[in-house]
Amino acid sequence: MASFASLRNISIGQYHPGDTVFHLLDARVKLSAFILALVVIVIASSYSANILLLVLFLAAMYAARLSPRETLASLGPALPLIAMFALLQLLFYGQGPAESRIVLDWGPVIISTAGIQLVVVSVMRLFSLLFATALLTNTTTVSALTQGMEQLLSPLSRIGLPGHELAMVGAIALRFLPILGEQMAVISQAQMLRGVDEESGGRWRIVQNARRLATLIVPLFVDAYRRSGEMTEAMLTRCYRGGRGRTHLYEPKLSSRDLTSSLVCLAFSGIVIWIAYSPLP
Amino acid sequence: MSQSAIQVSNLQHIYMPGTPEAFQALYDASLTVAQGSITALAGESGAGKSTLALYLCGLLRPTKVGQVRIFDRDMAQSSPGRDVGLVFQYPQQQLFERYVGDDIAYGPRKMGLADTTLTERVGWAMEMVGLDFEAFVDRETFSLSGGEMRRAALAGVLAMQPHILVLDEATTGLDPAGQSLIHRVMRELRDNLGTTVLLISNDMDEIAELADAVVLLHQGRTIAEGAPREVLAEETRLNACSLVRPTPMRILAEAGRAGFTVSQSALSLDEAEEELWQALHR
Repeated sequence: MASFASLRNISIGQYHPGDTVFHLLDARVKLSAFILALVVIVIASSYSANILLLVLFLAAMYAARLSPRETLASLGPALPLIAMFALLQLLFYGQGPAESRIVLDWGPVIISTAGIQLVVVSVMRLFSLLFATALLTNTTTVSALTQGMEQLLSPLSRIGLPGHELAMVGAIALRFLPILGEQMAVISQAQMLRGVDEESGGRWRIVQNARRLATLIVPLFVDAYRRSGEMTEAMLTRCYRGGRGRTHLYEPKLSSRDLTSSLVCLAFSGIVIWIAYSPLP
Repeated sequence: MSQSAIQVSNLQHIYMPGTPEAFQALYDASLTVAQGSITALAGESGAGKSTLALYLCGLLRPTKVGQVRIFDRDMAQSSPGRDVGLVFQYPQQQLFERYVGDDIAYGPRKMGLADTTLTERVGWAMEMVGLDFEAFVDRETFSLSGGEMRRAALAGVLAMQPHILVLDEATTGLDPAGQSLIHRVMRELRDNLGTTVLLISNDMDEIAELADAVVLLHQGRTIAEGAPREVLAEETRLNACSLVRPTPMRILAEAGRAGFTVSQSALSLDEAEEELWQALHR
């Protein structure tokens, strides 16, 4: 199937029903662990720390019965862009820190060990990030996620921050990812039905694809605006009002499982950060 | 009428195979549509009708199980190109240009039409669906009402003059005038241009009134195929698909229950009336 039409198969942001430990954990624990994971991914810049991170995430994906291949497939349409950035970084990063060796020096192009490390580690970080996002969004329903975010943000409401509204915005943004993907696929199909030939393109025909994308983006945005208007109406007709007025079907309680998982997460984060600052490469 | 325009045999389709969201929409779908006919495809919601439509217009390709042939070409190898036009179930998904005129002109322009031929074609398509050229050509597509959107979407497909037209529940939610307009368009296309029409619908009265043949799809399988008079008379089978017999047949069935000796095969109200008159005078 053509590349834009396959966007409806995007897996990030979609809830996959299941009964693994990850599915049963409290959303607050998963959200906190996700934020912790982001911090660790940003701090860890050495090969060894990132390899350990990837191994840990792959094990977690396995435990949550999620397919790493499927998660990485969501990256597909962005591959040419990522490859281009990686190449530019590799060629023009320069020498970097004094201890890095220069591998190739050819006019403005300087490839150094630090440059190579930056590119490789960046790709590994991207993978870790995707796995972390998949672990959060594929095992948590949107309502649990909103509620979790809201509860985590509730202390901030004392200083006037609208916790509930912020959480709602975040959750809707996540929920809309697959919808936008689907809508883009539909528009692409509508255009193909009326004579746009997409099959001849490929992921790597960057100029054609960019031109093609431009014809999709405008109707996609128009549709997203219309959809958000409809959603507002739907919420208002069902007497939605934010904050204290919001009730939930389930009231979550923290269990010992949540406590144990939090400790495990903290321990692993500590190990990764310790390795990141150790003399290991 | 004899040669077949569409031939589908033993088609299967699974959405997102190999993932937790995998869902089999088609198990064993088959149908034959005679060239120049109006054939109805009916079945409960989720029976796989829209998925089948995607195969017919080439947005899905048959892979392992099943075959789709359009005018005797195997769709696993070739694409239906401009032979098949599809009007989506939700017309707002089909309009992607800002102005109605641009949207209708999109297909013919891609076919190579330009200048006056293009304008004439757009005008013809708009006239077919009853949209006034002057009044609608510069209207923004998203300011249209539901019925107008549907007509604009239909015009955009008609403007390409496809040999086969697939209408996915194209009259659902329209007012009676809008419905009869689309019915008129279907008849005109069949009678004047020899277009083959596949009408996906759950409106049994509409099917009884228009269709030359009916195919019943139930849970991804074809369970009946034939003349409307026979297929639409089978009450138990229709009920299994959450469908009912057309109104004329139900009126006659009531009459039969009240003690009149009537044949229950009427497809139109006129036929039912005639049948009742004869029963009263017998």
